[in-house]
Amino acid sequence: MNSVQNRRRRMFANKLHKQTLSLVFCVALIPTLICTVCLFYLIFGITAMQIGIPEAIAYNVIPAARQVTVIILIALPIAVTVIFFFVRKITHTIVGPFDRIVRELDEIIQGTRKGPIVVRKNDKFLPLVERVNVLLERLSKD
Amino acid sequence: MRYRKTKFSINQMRKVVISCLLLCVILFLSLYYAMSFDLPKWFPFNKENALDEWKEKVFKGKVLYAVEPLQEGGYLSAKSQSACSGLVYRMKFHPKKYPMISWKWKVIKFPEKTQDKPKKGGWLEKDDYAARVYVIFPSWIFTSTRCIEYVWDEEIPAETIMTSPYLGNIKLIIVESGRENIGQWVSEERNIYEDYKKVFGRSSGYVGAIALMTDTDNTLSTAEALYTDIKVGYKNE
Repeated sequence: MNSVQNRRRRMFANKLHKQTLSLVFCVALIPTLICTVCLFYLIFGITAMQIGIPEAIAYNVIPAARQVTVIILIALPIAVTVIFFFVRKITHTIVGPFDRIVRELDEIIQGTRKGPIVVRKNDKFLPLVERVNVLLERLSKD
Repeated sequence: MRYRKTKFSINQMRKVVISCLLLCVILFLSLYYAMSFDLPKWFPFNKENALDEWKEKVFKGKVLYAVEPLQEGGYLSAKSQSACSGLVYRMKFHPKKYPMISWKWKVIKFPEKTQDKPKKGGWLEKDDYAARVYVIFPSWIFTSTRCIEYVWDEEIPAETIMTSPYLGNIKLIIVESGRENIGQWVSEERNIYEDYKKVFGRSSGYVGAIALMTDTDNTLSTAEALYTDIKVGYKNE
C-alpha cells in the first residue's frame, strides 16, 4: 500500500522517465508552436498584405487574429497537459518497472531473495519478466 | 566490413562550402536589387494606363477612381458614394535616406459630417475624409504595421495629429484644413521620416507602400477629390 501511495505521489518514476517525458513534451510543444507561428503568419500576414488598407486590416483581420490567439492560448496548454499526462501514464508502465526489475534481479543474484520477479498486470515488461521467471525457475531446478 | 573512403577531401569540401556561401550572397544581392525601386517615384497621372501599377483595395464598396490623362496636368479623380476603397502602390525604401513625399490635391466635395454626437459613442462615424494619402510602414508581425495618413479635413485644424479609431498604429496628420481652398489645387510636401518620429516617437522602418483614399462609408454621404503630381522618395534639398 505504501509503495502504491509512493508511486502515485511521484511525477516521475526515475531519471529515464523524466527524460522520456521531457522529450515527449518538447516533441509535442516545439513543432506545434513553430506550425502555429507559421500558419499565423501565412493566414493573417498574407491576408493583411492582400487587404492593404490599414483600416480594413484593423477592422477585418485583427479581430479574427485576436480570437484565434485566445483560442490557441486556451487550447494549447490544455492539449499539452492532456497529452503530457496521457504519455506519462503510458511511459510509467514502461519505464517504471525497469528499476524494480533491475533491483529484484540484483537481489536474486546476491542470493538475498528467491522466487519469481513480481510485476504488475499492466506493466509493458510483463512478457519479458514472465520469460525471465521461467529461466530463473529452470536455473533453480538445475 | 569495409567502409568506402570519403569522396571529398577537406580542401574540396571547403571549396564547396565557399562556393555555396558565394552563391547565397549573389542570390541575396540579386533579390535585394530586384526588389529595390528607382527613386524618386513620380505619378503625374497623364497616361491612360497610369493606374496599372496601382492596386485597388476595397474596404466597403468601390470608390470610382479614374485617370484624366490630359497632356499637361493629368490627374486622378476619386468619387465616393457611401463607399470606401483605396489605391495602393507597393514600393520599398527607407525614409531616413529618402524622406520626402509631395503631391497636389483638390477637394471638390467634402463628406457630410453631422454635428451631432456620434451615435456609436466614438468618432468612427466621422472617420471619412475627402482626400487622404497613406504612407504604410509594414512589419513582419502584421499587427505592428504602422501608417501615417495625411488628411484634408474641413473642420479639424491643420497639423493636428490624431489616432485612428480603428487602430493605434494608424496616425492621422491633418495637413490641410477648411473649405477655403475647396475647388483649388493645393500642393503639399512632407518629410515622412520626421513625421514618423513626431507621431510615433521613434525612428521609422522602411516604407512598404503608399496609398490614396477618398471615403464616405461612415457618413454614408458623397465626396469627390482629385490627386496629381505625387512624388515620393526624394531627398530634402
